[in-house]
Amino acid sequence: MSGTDSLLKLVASFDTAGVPYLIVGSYSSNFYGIPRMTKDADLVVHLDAKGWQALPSLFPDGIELEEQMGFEMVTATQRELLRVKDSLFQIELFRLSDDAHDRMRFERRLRQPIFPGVEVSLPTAEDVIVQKLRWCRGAKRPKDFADTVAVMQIQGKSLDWPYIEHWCAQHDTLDILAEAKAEASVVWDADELDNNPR
Amino acid sequence: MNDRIADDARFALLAKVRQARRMSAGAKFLTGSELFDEACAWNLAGIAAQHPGASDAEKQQELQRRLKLADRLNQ
Repeated sequence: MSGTDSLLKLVASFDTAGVPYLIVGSYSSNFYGIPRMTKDADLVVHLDAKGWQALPSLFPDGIELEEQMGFEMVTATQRELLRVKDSLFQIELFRLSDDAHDRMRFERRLRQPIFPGVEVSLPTAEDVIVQKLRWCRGAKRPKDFADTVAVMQIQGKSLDWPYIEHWCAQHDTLDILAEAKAEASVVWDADELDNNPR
Repeated sequence: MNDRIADDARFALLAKVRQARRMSAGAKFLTGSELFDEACAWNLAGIAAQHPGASDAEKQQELQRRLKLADRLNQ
């Protein structure tokens, strides 16, 4: 079973059971930006403690719990690691935290069509940027900055900048936002030339 | 020479952006894990070439060791 097949089976199981979820991480930045290789899928799931404990009963065949992961440090959320049988692909489940942006991103999630008859829950492009910038600051991983710039480049200038800036001010990431916008502007300038040829 | 490199880099970036904008939602969704599968297949081929006597389990073990190393480098 491929990584994406396993992810789609898992979220279909969540949809059937009425478990609210959100696909975040590289799958969301690949959706809005320039696709890159990924060896894992990240999901935020909204469940109480009892529901969280019962979650493994919803895993489709071929997906199993790897180990208790404890807490993710950037946003201090509870998480579990899932293994896909006969694959090196991994799925990480994060429990929706009380963090203000974590909650807002979840509330604003969109059902996006992926294939005919297949829809999944994804964050808005703006929330992908806000969260990736937060990881730039907290985890200092170059790929988060590259993902942020790629989403900006593909989405163009039409993003809701006041919303992004509001959360970046809360997260103290306005300086990284400015750097990312400067990198994305190479593509925006080319877009303007394409749209307004001399 | 540096100007030429900068021009080439800009050309490559714009080509990548145009390609991504042409991709369907499904293709964008599939690409990440497909690239990972291909990268693993190439890496396994490299491991097999360097260690011709290794069993399949040993090759998988080496691949996993390299993936963990990549994880550490990306942190």
